[in-house]
Order: sequence, then C-alpha cells, then structure tokens
Amino acid sequence: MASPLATGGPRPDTAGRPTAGDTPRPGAHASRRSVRSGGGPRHHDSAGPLAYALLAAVVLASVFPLYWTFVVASHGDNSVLGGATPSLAPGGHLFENIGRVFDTVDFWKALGNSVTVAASTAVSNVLLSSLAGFAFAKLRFPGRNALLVVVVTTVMVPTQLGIIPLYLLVTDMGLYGRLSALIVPALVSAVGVFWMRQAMEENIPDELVEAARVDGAGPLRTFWYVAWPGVRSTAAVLGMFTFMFAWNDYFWPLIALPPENGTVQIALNQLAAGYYTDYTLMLAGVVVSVLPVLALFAVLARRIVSGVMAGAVKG
Amino acid sequence: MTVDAAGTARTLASAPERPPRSGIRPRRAGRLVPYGFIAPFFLVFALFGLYPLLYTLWVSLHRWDRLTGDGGFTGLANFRDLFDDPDFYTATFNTFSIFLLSTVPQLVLALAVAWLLDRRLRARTAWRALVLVPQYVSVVAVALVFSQLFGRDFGVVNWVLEQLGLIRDPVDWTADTWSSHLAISCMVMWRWTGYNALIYLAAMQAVPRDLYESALVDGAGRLLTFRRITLPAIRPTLLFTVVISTIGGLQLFAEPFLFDPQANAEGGTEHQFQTLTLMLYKYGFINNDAGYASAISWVLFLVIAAVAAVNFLVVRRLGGSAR
Amino acid sequence: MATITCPAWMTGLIQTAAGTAGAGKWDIASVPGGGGNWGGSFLTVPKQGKHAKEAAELADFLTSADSEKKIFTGPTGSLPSLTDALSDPAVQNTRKAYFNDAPTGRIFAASAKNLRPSFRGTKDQQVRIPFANALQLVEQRKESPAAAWSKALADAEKNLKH
Repeated sequence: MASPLATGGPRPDTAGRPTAGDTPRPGAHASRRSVRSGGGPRHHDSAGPLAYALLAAVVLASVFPLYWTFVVASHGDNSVLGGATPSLAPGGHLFENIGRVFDTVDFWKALGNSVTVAASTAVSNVLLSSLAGFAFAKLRFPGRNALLVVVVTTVMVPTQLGIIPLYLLVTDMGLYGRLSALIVPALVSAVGVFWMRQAMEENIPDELVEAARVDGAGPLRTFWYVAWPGVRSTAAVLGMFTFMFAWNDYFWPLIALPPENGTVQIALNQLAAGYYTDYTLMLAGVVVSVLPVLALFAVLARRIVSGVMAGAVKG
Repeated sequence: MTVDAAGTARTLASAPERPPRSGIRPRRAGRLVPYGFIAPFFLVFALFGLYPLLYTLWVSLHRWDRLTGDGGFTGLANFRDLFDDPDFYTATFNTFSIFLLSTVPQLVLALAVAWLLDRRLRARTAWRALVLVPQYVSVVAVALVFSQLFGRDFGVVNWVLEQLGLIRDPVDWTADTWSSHLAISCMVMWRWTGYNALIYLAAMQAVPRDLYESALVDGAGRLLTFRRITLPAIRPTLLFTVVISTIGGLQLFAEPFLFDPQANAEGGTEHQFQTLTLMLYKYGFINNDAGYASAISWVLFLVIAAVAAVNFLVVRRLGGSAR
Repeated sequence: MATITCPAWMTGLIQTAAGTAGAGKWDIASVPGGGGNWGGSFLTVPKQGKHAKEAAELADFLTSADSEKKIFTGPTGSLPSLTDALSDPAVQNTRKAYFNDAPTGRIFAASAKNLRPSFRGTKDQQVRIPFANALQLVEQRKESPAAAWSKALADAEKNLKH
C-alpha cells in the first residue's frame, strides 16, 4: 500500500491561506475568525452532538481491534475464543504471555534488529534527503528542474515489482540475511527528498543563503549552519515516519532475511506458524510489536498528525 | 527559526575557506557540489529501484531458477504461459475486486470522517490522533488480528452477525471469493481510512471559511456546501489520494498473504483471494521460478501504470465539472 | 466429537495446549484404513561444521534405542525411529494417562509398521500444496473427491512446469 511518506498533491486551488509552516495548524486561526461573522446559531464549523457521536463510532472502530488483541493476549489459553459469547474483559496473563513470546522466538534479537534497521534508515534518510532537498531548493545547477521531475516520478515506481532481481542483486552483493540488505536500499527516499525540498523552500529565505555564499561559505557549510537549523521540525517528522515505516515493513524483510535473524514483523509471523495456533501467544506478540510504535505515537501524536496533514498541503 | 542564521553566516566569513567573491555562480569545483548532494538519491534509486525493474524484464525473458540461476533465453515463453494460465486471470480479477472493494469505500469514508473532523472540535488533536492509530499498527499485526476476528468458529465478526440475525451459520471467510475479498477489504480500510481522512482534512482546512459563511447566509445546507465548495476545492488532493491508493491497492501483498493461516501464497483453496503480487511471490519464492515471477511483475507494473493513468484522468475530469 | 489427526509427537503439544483442564478428556485411536506419516526430523552433520565429531556423537546419542525409548515414554512422546525399538516392551506397553490411558505404544508402533513409504523429491513442497488444497476443497464441500483429485494432479503438474 502507499507509503505513509507519500506527500500530498498540489495546493488546493483556493488561494489566500497563509502557507503552512513546519508544524502547521491549518485552519486554527480561520475558524476562530469566522465565529464572530456567523449569522445564526449554525456555523459551518460547529460540531453538534451528532458529529461527536459519529466520530466516537469511528474511533471505536479504529481502536477496537487493538483492544481485543490486548484482551486475548491477556488470557491464559485459547478458551477466551471459544464459547457462545466472546469475552471482552481482559484476563490477568498478559505478562506471562509476553514472557512466553520471548521464550518461543528470539524476540529480543528481532526487536534489536528492528530498532537498528529503523533507526539507521531514519537517520540516513533525513540526512541525505535534507542534503538533496537543500540542493534542489537553494542551489542552482544545470538540469535541476529536470532532475527534480525525475525524483517525483520515481515515487510512482512500484518497487515491489522489482523484488526478484532486488533479491538476486542483494544476494550477489553478499548482503542476503544481513540487516544491510534492509538498510542500504532505503538510505534515501524520493519522498524524503521532496519533503525536505519543500521545507527548505518554505523556511529558508534565499537571502540568507546568498548572504552565506557572499561571505564565502561553501554549500556544505551553508547547509549545515544556515539551512539545517530551519528545517529541523520537518526533519524530525520525516525521521519519525521513516522509522515507523521501516519498523512496519514486511514484504522485503520477509524475503531478504532468514527467520532467525528477522525483524519484529518476521518474528510475529513465526509466532503464528506452527502446528496449532496459540492465539494468546500470537496476539501477545502483536502487543509487544505494537507497543513501541504506539508509545512513540502517543508521545509524538501532535507532531505526527501535523506531519501527515502538512504532507497533504505542501507542494 | 531559533538560530540566528544570518549572524551565523556572517561569523563564517571571519575564517573564509575561499576568497570572497561577488558573483552568484560558484567556482569550477564548487559547481559539482550540488550534484554531489543529490547523488546519493540517484545512486540508491538507480541501483535498488531502476536496475531491478529493468533486470526483471531481462529475467522474464529467460528460464531462470531462483536458486540455480539463468537457464537460457526463452523469449516471450513466460508471458505466453502466463496468458494461458487461468490462475493469472483469477489473480487479476481478485486484484481488481479487492482493490475496488477496499479503495472506493475507504476514500468515501475518509471524506466523511474528514468532513466530521473539519469543525471546531474539543480535543481536536486527540480525535485526529485516534483516527490515525491503525496506520501505525504493522500489516502483520493487522492481518493476524483480523484473521482471528474473521475466523469461522470463534471470530467476533461472525458472532456479531449471528446476534444481529444476519446469518444463521458461521461464515467461513477464507473459503469463498466474496467473503475473503470483503474481509481483506475491511483490513485495508481499517488501516488506511484514518490516514486519508487526515490528508483530506488538511486540504479542507485550507478552504477559506468565508466561502462557507456566505453560502450559509445564502441558505445553503451543509451537504450542498460540501458538494459545491469543499469537493472542488480539494480536488487536487482527491486526485492524489486516488492515484496513490491505486498504486498501493493493486499491489496488495501482506493482507491477502497473511489472511490464509497456511501462508503459502496460494490465496485459498481455489486462489479465491490470490492477488497478482501474491502470485508473484508464490512463483518466485515458493516455486522458485524467477522467470515466470518476473513476467508477472512486469505485467502487473503495466497494469498499475495503465490504471493509475486512467484514474488520474477520470477523477480530474469528474472534479473539473463543478456541478 | 471433535477429532484431529495426531502423530506421536503431537501428544506432548496437545497436553501443553489443553493444559491440566484437558486431562482425561482426550483419547487416541488408530486411523480407519491405516494412518500415514506427518513430519519427522532428520539429523544431519554438515562437513563444514566446527565440531563435526561431537555433533555426530550427539546424533548417535539422540537416536540410540535408550534415548528414543525415553523420549517416547516421557512427555514429548515422539515415536522411536529405530524399528527394533518399536517392538521393545517398554514402548509397546506405554499408556498415556492424559489420554484416558490410551495405549500409544501399540497404536503408533502398529501404524509405523504398516506404513508404506512415500517418495519425496526435490519439488515435494510445490507438489504437496495442491493436494492439501484439494483436501480442503472437499472439506469445504466445494468439490467431489474425484474432481478435487484431478484438480490436484493438474495443479501439481503446473507447479512442476513453473
């Protein structure tokens, strides 16, 4: 499915909105402004009880499968699934089951692998995308526009389809089974370049770059001292997204890594395999795999939400 | 910006690495630096993105075993066998069916959710974050959980349907085409609706409120303003999500793969939910026939390109007529 | 009455999964018409291994009559691979209390003795899948056994070609 790093399309046709900055809250000012101009009790922006009820239903649907996962994972055995009525109350065996997860597959190693791959990919992508974004946004060189178009088109290329030769290539390079097989092809992404270019465009005034150049700073210094500090927010969001995307990736790690040296997603798969399915074990594994990401998400929720929405409005 | 960049730039000048110059064009060696900055991307893409895609074409023209390698040039034999293979047509049908079932309701639902969110809500960020949660649960987790929810004997979905009196016997969701497609679409919808809703929300929030207020003054209801003002305004975003969803939706792998507890890429006893990517995986990594799998890859690539293009044109045309 | 095909090694798994609550609620019987084989392990000592000699000794130990008898009579329940061990009184007289004192020794040993070996070639996995599908089709009541069999044969041929 489309990468969560996918950026939004061109700006909406209506003009006159201030451009979204690094952590935009689009519409926040607008809606406050429109309050006083409202004619009657009904505003376009008002949220009645019906709206809240419908939203609550949507949120319930979003959250229920996770809650149910937690319920099953906290029971002692599969009996939670049998019976006429599915039980919706958590049991008391969550930690015990999580312990079993770590005993059944080498989950620590899988977690470590996932963290290594996700973190490396995130750091590398942010750095290299920022460099490229800076070049596209603030440096002048022949072929810049054409090359930018190429970058944008590559987003459309479904890389999943080159999976067989990619596997052959990685094997020939001696990377099969090693984490580098996951990291190297993801060192820098088109979407990352595009995002950072947008961020540079919007946040780094040309005059500053010119001033630096006139004062004798080379492109690298200009990047590091002038441009980079201004786009740190976007870089953080890009890093978060890259991390999560790498953490959740399944298809390529499934192919490039053996089960003994897999990522968390592969290890999850291992739990589901076997002669019979121990659902409490399997879903306890899901809980463990999902917790780090959800924790990160909870802490960074506002940033992530703005990041997703910013990606929709930019360029 | 928290750093006084201007001041920093001036400080740099105190220890110049090159003699200051007044022109705008950099010196000869400096001219290559921008290319150096963008090189990593092009290198990575060329090696791991473009080359495999082209190599796929090359492999598809050979008899090529994944383990033993090149077995000789066979021209278009793989493609010919593919077009003679009934499983190919089944997989194509499945791919489109699941794609439509999962994408169309999902984007419509996302629009509705975005419309609900496009208001002055209390705890605005909380609502948005909660709606986004499914996106950050991995596909494996989603597939495992949903396969359980859609289990024949102990699944919650069957239980609910029976309670509501909609079914008498438990549905074996993996057994039939329509049921498996429905279940898989639910998985995909669950995962992506919130994300697309936020994308639409962002676009909607950029619409000037004055337009709505004046429409309200003119007596227009909410639905009318949605059709006449909101939709046309977010048309580019709609276009974008349609194209991206198309590209992703036609490549579905993890959901159908993990929906089958056996995980052998068969997509069910009669390939009822085997998508083209699943078929690719089966022939490439289980049957080890890289040549055949590569042929499937390229056909899928062309299908995706064609459908994405059609989608783009259709949505652009539809949105263009502001009814 | 719910049934499940059960090789000897599964008895241990069933006990673990069903837990103490399941004790006495299970029993074991021979498959009408003769059973088959499911799974099994093969011990290999690769030449490239660092401790090939010790590995070989370990393999010998694990497959010795004594070890195999112990494994069978213990909680794991895997059937001895040495055909002599199958006739050993210790094996023949084994009963599993968990399974209502089922005479597992006699049942599984008899099944093993009557087994007709099936050939497993290099494409075993690819050929096996269509047959598993066919069986499931019959179970799902979507095909008659005869039709499913032909389908399995045709699909297996296709998997051999591609």
